[in-house]
Amino acid sequence: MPVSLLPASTNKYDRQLRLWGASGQESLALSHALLIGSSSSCGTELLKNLVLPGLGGFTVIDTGVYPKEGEYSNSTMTIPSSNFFAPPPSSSTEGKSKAEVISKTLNELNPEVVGGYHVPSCSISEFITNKVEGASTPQTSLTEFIKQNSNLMYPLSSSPTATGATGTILIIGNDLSSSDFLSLSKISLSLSLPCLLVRTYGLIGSLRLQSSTSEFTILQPRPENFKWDLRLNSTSLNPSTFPELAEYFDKKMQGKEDMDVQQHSHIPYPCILSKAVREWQASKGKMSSSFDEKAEFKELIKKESRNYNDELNYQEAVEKAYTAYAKEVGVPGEVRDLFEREGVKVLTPTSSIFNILLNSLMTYLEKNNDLPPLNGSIPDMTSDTDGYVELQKIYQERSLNDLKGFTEIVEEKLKVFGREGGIPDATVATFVKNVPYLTVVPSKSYYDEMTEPLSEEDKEALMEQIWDPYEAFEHSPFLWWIGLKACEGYWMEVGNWPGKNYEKGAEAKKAEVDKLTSMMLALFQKYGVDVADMEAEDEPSVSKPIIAKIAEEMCRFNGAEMHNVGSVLGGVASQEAIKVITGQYVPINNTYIFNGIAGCAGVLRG
Amino acid sequence: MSRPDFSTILKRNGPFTSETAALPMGEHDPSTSENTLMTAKILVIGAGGLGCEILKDLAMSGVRNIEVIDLDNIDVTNLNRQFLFRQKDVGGSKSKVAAEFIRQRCPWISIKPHMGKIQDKPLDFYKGFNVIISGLDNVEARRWLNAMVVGLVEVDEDGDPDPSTIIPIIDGGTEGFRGQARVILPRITSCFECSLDSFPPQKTFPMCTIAETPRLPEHCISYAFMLEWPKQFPDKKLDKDSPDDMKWVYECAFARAEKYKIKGVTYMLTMGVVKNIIPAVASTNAIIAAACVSEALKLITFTSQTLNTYMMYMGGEGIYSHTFVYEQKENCPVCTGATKKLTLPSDTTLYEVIQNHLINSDLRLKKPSITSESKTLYMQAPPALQAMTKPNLDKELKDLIESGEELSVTDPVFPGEKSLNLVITFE
Repeated sequence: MPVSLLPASTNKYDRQLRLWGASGQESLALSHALLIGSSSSCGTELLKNLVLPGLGGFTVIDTGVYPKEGEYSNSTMTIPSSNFFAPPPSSSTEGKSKAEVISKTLNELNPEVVGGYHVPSCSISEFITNKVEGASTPQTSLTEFIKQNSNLMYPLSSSPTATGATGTILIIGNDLSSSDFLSLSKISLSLSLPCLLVRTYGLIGSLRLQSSTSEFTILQPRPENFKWDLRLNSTSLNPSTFPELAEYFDKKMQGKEDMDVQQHSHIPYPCILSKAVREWQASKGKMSSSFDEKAEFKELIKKESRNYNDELNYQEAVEKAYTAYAKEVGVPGEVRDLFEREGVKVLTPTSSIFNILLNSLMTYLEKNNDLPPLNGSIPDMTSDTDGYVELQKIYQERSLNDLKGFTEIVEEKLKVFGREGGIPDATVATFVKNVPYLTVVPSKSYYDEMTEPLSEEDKEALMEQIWDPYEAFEHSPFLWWIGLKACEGYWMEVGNWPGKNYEKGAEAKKAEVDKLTSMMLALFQKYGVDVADMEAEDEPSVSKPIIAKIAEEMCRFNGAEMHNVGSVLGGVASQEAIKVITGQYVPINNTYIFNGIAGCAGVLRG
Repeated sequence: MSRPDFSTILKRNGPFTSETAALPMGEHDPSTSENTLMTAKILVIGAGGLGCEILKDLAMSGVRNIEVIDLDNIDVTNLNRQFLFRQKDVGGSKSKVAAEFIRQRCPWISIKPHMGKIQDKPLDFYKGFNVIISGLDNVEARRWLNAMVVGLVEVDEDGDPDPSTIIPIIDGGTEGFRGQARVILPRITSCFECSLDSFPPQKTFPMCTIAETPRLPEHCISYAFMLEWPKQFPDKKLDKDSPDDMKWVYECAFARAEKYKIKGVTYMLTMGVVKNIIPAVASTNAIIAAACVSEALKLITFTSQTLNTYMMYMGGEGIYSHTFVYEQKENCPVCTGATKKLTLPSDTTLYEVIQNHLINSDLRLKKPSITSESKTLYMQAPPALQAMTKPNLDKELKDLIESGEELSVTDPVFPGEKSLNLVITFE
């Protein structure tokens, strides 16, 4: 039995099914995560948060070997090994690979998940890039490993199952060098797989999300607020295109004068509103958008009530009056903008499902008076039971009918390319339900971010992010992101994290801080940020004293690993992973920075 | 590459230690802070979604003395996030199983479980901790904990709190992809009660809708468990954890929905409505728990600044993370000791005062008892005293008290020692 059908009281996934539903759960079960680098806690915490909710499978990739029992004792150290899923060395772990032990402890969390591990016979850098210095025997590279094991990792193809679920292979780089991150970004792109790059550094952490393409297309963003489509706007309220609704409205308003108090106060508000619209149109013609006329329209509704203060349905009609004079129906401007995307207006044999559906929507709108297929859901409202159920049925039947019409258009389009049945009905239905919310999040690759010059637009976007209103400007995540980037550069150049010589006297310490400060200054210059010599008193500004303070703190951290910072980042990263895997909710664009000093965080477009 | 750990940070001074913060709690001493961390005593309240994470985070950060309290047993629906529990543990005590797991994994740690209600522990129990981290899922327990810890602060003649009596509370909460972590320094920052408005009471449907004009499946389910169950089983309280009881509610709701042609009553929805189930996932719990533990570590060692005072995390649409100072409520009945002032007609009955101004008001009390300096106006318990004072409920204020007289209110949402000052002036 599929897990989603188990009764709620015995289903261990009940609390999450209430968020992402059966198809989200199925997508999760079809997906696989590859963790590259498991020495620090962040990556294993991330996997933990995917194994618990029922990810299909995972592979831990690491070259580390377990030390001998007692060689490393937690009881004599202040801080134990920070990785909860790498237990202290014992006789049972001796000589084993770290990847194997970690994979096993993670798998204990959920026996339904298929856990695996891989120990490359070369370094992680060589494994990622497939460039092995002076190797005599051929090595297995990441690309090879994924190809060889694709049967273990579920279908590589992204074609959805009957329920609309899709499997994803997710690549995770955990606390690797920036050059390894760069290679991983490039290889993920070439394999068309999404990737997550996570790093923790003292009290600071960062997460970089990259799509398998240049964007994330989200069919089911699960917005906080619904945009109900009841066809009450003056153009959509049309007896010739939706006669059942017009008949219902007439019927419910008939003999209004003879209704008793209970009946009159339980007329569903759409009936009241539609009558007001028609009366307005009869006397004044077009609905106006002026403030005065809107007020007059509301008065018209109020006048129709018997006792406005007691009649909740009339109050609801006034509250929802805006839906009658709203210009936009069904398809908001942001969604119409998506029609302008490349590959939407002209389809090809390899068009994505998302583009085919958008193209079909354009055709549907042309054929249907610019109205999208009806959503069919209605909000609760003051009404008697029968009146509500009848109204609900009218919208639902119309919605099913519209969906049928829309599906026919989609099938016609697919037929042209011999792809009949290529989009499951469940996916088409999800699309139709979500027309007003469809979202595309652009996703620049980490590789492009690091290798291509910054466009003016990117610079401007970054500038906006500097001034995030925090209590103290020095904690703005942007500044710490620059600090982290400078540390990565320092590591590539020097071979260790800055702050190694902190205990070797004031001069040695100053040399490291100064070097990191100048590397930060260079980065600010690259991003086009003016740096003031002194801190301005009246307004926040990027200044040399602030940069020096941040550099000093980064040197103090010296790349130290804190379990709880890894756990924050592992949590955030797993949440983003779930969004990417389920195609639900909206992922970030594209970098999350956690500042554990002040307990604040931000999202930057790197 | 082998990396330094938290002890490196503890052993070094830096430009952002506690004394440089907006909420300085102490001075970082690199020579002693490792020891301070190892000897600190931390209380974790709740061993559920947040609690399991908090325990792990503390254990992996060098904390060695932990106590954990929870009254619940492990349920199968906990297993998607409460990672210290396995299928075989279902039915066992959360605090005991969690503590045992941590002890097995980290034998160098002293961890003591308590199974029971926080309200049943004596005040002295709480006085022994350096920091309290709360991962509670309900507002009532948090209000009680907050009022209790605020009450532990000793204040001198000038109204200044004695810092040695301040026990920081770090409070976390999650719902779906959203959560918040906050630091409460009793009598210094805002307290939980200051923010009560941001935790609105559970939404219920109007009784007439449930009884007469149901439209949604939720209305039918509410009818089944709120109206039909007490009618059918007047002597038996609905056990929300009993599959038999829940099946009855589901079938009753389903039958009512059929009758009214309402679609959508499922067992899952029935459980959701009856138990007021809040969606919960591992990832959000991990984020909020770790953010809370970060603050605990900093408050113990002063090695870095303190969250000032509230971090919210919304992960549904991108990530919206906002950190801000949650201001103290000017007339917070708990942390400012402000007197609640009411101006009412003198013919208001005591019952009306209790119902409209103490229970269904911003104070959101549950079962208030009122005394004046000279007499007991109404007591909810013990039964003898309740019977004796019950006639006062129908009396008008002018027959019970003087205008402007100082009254004292106690309520089970606050610890027994805590009373609110109330002054009613006649119109």
